[in-house]
Amino acid sequence: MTITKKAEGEKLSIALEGRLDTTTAPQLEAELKRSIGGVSDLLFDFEKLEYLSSAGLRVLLAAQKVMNKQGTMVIKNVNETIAEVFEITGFSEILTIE
Amino acid sequence: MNERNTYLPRRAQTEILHSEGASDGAAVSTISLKLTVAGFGAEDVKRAADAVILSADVFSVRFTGEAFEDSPPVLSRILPPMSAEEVLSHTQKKDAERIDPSQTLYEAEVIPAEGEVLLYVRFHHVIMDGRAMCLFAQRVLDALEGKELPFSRYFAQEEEAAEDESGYWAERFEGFTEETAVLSGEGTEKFTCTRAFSPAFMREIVAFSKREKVGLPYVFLAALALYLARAADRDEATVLMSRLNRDERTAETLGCYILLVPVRIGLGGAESFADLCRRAQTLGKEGSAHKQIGFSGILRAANVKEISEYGFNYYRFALRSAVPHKLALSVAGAIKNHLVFNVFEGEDVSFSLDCLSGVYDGEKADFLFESIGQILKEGIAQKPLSGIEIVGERERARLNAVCGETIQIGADETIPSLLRAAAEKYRDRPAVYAGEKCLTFGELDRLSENVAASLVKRGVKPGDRVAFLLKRDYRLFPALFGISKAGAAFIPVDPAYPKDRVDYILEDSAAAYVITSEETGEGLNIDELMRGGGAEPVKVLQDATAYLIYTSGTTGKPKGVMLTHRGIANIVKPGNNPFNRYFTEHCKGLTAIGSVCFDISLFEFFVSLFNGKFVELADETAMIDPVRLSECILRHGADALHCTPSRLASYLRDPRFRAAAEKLKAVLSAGEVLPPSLIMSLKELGVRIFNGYGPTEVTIGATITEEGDSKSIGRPIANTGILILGKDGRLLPYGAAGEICIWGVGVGQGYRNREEETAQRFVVREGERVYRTGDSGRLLPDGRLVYLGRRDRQVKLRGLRIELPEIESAMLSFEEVKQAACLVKKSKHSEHLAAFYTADRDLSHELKEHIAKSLTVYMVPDVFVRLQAMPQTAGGKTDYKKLEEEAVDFRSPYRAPSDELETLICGAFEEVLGVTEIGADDDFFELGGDSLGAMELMLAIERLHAENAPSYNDIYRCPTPARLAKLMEGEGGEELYPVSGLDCSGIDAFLGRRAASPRPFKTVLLTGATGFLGNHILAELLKDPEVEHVYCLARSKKKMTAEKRVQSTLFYYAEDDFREGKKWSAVEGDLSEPGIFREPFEEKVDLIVNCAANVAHFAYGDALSRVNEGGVNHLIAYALKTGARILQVSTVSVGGMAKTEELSGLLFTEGNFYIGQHIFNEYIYTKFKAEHALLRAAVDKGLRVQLMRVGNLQGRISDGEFQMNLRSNGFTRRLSAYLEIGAVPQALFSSTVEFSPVDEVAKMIVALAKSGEEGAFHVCPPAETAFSRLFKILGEMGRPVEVVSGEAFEAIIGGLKTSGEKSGSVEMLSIERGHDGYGEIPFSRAYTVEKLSSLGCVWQPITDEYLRKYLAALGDMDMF
Repeated sequence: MTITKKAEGEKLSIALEGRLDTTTAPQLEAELKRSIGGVSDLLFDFEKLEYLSSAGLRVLLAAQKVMNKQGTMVIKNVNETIAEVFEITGFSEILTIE
Repeated sequence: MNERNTYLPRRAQTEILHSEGASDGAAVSTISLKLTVAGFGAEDVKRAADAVILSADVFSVRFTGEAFEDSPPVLSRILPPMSAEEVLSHTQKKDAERIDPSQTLYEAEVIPAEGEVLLYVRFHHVIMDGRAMCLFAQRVLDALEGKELPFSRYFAQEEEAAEDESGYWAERFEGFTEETAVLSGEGTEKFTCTRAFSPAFMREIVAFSKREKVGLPYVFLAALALYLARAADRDEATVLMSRLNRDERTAETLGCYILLVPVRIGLGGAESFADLCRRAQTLGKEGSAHKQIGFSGILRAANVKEISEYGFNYYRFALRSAVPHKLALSVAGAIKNHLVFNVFEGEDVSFSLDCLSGVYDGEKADFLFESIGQILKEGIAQKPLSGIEIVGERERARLNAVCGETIQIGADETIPSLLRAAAEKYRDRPAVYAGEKCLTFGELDRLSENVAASLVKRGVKPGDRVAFLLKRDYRLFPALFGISKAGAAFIPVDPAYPKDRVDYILEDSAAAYVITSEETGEGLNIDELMRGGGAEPVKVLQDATAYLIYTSGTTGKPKGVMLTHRGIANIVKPGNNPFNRYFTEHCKGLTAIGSVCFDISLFEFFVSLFNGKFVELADETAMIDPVRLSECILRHGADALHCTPSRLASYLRDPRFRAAAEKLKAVLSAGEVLPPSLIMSLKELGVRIFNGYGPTEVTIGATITEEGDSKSIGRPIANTGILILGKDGRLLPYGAAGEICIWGVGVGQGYRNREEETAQRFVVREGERVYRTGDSGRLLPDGRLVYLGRRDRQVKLRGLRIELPEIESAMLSFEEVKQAACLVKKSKHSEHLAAFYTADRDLSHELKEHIAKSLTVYMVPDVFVRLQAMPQTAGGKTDYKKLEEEAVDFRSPYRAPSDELETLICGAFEEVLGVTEIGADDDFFELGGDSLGAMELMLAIERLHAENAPSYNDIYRCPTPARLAKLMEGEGGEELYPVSGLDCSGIDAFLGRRAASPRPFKTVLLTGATGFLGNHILAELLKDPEVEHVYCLARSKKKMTAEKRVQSTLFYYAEDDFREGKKWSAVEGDLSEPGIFREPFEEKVDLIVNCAANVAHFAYGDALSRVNEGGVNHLIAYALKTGARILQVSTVSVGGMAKTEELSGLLFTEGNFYIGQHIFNEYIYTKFKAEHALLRAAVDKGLRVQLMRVGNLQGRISDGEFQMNLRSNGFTRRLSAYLEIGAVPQALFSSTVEFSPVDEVAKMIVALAKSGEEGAFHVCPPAETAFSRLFKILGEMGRPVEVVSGEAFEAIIGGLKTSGEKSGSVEMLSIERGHDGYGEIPFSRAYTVEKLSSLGCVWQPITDEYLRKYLAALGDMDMF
């Protein structure tokens, strides 16, 4: 998975490419740990994210919990496969998906 | 030791300390000045500032909490140089910081900034006021010029005693009702906007002030008051004005002299703006002369708590100095009120608006300032006061643009043309299902042509009106469309209406004919009309009247609203609104439950039919009975429904309706605001809910929400706009509350035969016809509309619109009634109509009968109360407020309970409803019981009489004590799920035979591959080198194909889509559909693995049996034809239950099928029947069958991962319910639970499949898991629960029920309870465990480490 990060003041946008799973989730987790401090707008771009497994979902959820305290988090360009994961797991209500 | 002088706070100071104490630590008392000077160094400025500090006693005190005492002054500090930007952020931060008066009372900083020097001083308001800050600045400038500073004494001055001024204020505020603010919202932050008018306009204002001899402050005060009064749609406004309490002696003293004075300004009698200015001046000066009592004293005298959200300050001060300087004041560090309007008059006049964020934003503050400008402009131009607009141009443009999209409507689209077009396009598709009858679009079109032809032959002409009076069957449709095709307007009439009302409608409408059927009386017979034919088609115009709907009218008679084809052509368009868009794209049909007399039924019919969807017409019973309605929904798969929120919420309590609701995709609700709890429960079911709003007068609807919005009633639909107008018909500011008015193509033609009322309600505004709804609402910043209730005496009860005056006038038509009043009373759980009257004798019974003759059922009050005298207001009107306090009893004639059981149940009713003397025939729901109450009642009865206690549904079936008692005595009656009586011959022998040889398989057909277990079995099969191909039967869902769904689930669980060397493919199809396997698979299937199951716990109709039993039958037929064998995933729960006393000695083994067990759950029953079908095929036809009975499937042993839709798992939901409650009963804590990691189960199932051994297996780990272990680990994870006795637990639940807290958890634990007097039959897994171990498969133990991973996974997924 490739993580492309763009920080701009309190805005952080992260584009993911490939698969977010047990192998790659720690990578994202570490990246978030590094950069999420002081961020008030977190934007995920999933345009090029192909798959999402439960391990990946957990990292997103953890990020959401952090952002609940310090700002907003939005996930953009979700493909239908991943949209269904969000829907079945009930996370489409917890996460902001645009 | 030095003696310290102490000074008690002066009056103004007391007020400030008091107001600060009430404001929760916000910096309400921080005020500051910024004086910038050029040509001096920082040291010079510091010297000057310190000289000022040393020249006044207010800077040499500290505050002890009660009094001020002498204390050394604090001199200024020089800070390092800053840029202008840094200065701004530094001072803004400081301004927002509270000054704690016990620590310090001021702080002075000298900041070199970009070549100039800034002196920033912030004060606690308690020692300074706005004028004193100007004096401070003047003194600093004087000091810089080397002038001498006189010493200023504040504390040493005498204060004059206050006279008693309370009489003045009591009189000033007589009849004052606490004002509702113009805008609503919450916030704590202040923001300030600084504005100015053009010098030329300012000169005009000053000239006006001089010409009219009114002080300039009062010109602005009057403008503000006029704005506030109009914006709040009132005739008066109150503004809090700061007044200086200085005289000549104290004019130059540094100190705090300010007192707040409320100025209440009425608009009445003022003809011009100049009049209003003079009035403001008189009242402002009068108030100022009575201010010594202090603001808190004024509030006491006036007897009000909240007086106004708006402040007005006027500062006039011109600094005189040769030193170049700039002065800026901040007069409120924080803000308590919504808005403070500050005017600074120095060399020129500037304004600053201190606004509370959350109520105002920059745009609204701008709008307000522009409004003040607009008022001043028109006021100076001598417009009459009533003609002055309060909304500025930019805001006006914004308000006029609150409308839906513009979409095209074909010029010739009418109800007939739209039906013909639909018939053309969808000719053979079903259009209407009504009971047994189905009409296709073609048939509907033809029958309605026949009706039209018959009507034309009988002389019906375009422009005529024809009523229909029909029962709810399919003939409604040909009647309605037939009338329309004949060019006439149709009038729906409910056969259940009282005769008087029907007669009135027919007479008022001058209907040419009334269409009836044999059951509904005399008129043109619909069956005859449907046989007619042969007349020429009639040209129907779009702007002709399409229909009349009679609604409740204030005069006591219904009024006929006339609507056009054009409105219908608009509202049926797919792009008209979010519901239509979703419905037309995703749904098949709609179950119609609206009465034909309400226009919502037309929405149900037209939107469905004109877009090729079918209408499932609910009959009279299904309209009101959730169980019948569920049947209706499931009958042909109608997946959309319109329903009011309250009805929907109550129906959803019924598990059968819930099961039906799961099949729905979209619900349109209307008539009430959506409660968030309802949205949540529908989301759980996967149903989208939209909420619509619109009176009959604008063609069904005007606004609609996006899916799941509970805060608003949405945005305007296409070609429709909303205006919020004041009572004078003028625009109100954006966000202010006013009357909801609607414009657009849907606006109707008016009321038949009621020109006056039509003219009042249908008005023309700026060339546009506008309907005034009489509803109150306001706009949210994003353009959504919030509904705030009725402005007049029309009410909505259970979603139905009722004009209370109509009921009152019906009551008054009874001769002996002298006065009558009707209102909605709330009982503990619901709302009822209550009627009050005065008469010489008690007429309640006769009166009810009398009005039932002319009013529809829902308008007949539930209770009639005779009063000695009708309470009256001072103005001689009926005092409804007093009536609301009148005690009312909603009950049927009392019949005493006749036996012990009835008495006991009556007691339970009393307990739950909180009323006394319940009779045996009193209906629980009529007495105000609701669904929550039904649950309480179920539990209360059980507590009192555990034997045969009623279930939740029983309360609905038998809502009176007498009927419940009968049910409880009836010994259960026939068994709901008959287990005995099935043909079991040969089954035990088959299950005991256990003969088998390994049977390899290459090609597998797998169902349920997107489920938790199914997907793990799939992964297991794909990993097996011997398996060559797996066909996965799956349904597509929305845009997701079956293939994609399987692939995405595989990746979710297994993190591998097995695309490399792919040996799986998806077959699109629904197992419950007959003929699913008509097409052969490419490869011959050896093994069918059936994991498909509908696992809903409560369901109604055949939803469960269709998949669980029907699906299996389809598989059996296919297997018998092809020679494949079947592996069926079943559940150990088919072992069922037995009476507690018979339990010992019973054990359900792999060799058993029917051992006399009872089954009380529909899901288990369908799985039992599926097993039966398979076993019969095995015994009778030699089908090779493996039954894999599984237990409680839980997280993976490998990593604890749990099912995707984790919120739908009963076990984890119960677990999280205990966690939320924080307690668990001892009995449960010390028990064990069957706990099967899903990946283990999948592995075992595949191993058993390969063994080829026929028969049943109990695929569960050898040992159960102790609950105590789960709770212990949860405790370690920071989620402790207390272990309590059973009684203590019941008490906790009882307490929560009373308080209504944690209701979701309480409900979860209450509804899913065991069956009285029965216990689960234990099952054994010894044989399977042994068999597996002989195959080399041993269950891994359930370790704490695993449980930790599992519980952590649940926690990460927000389950707890």
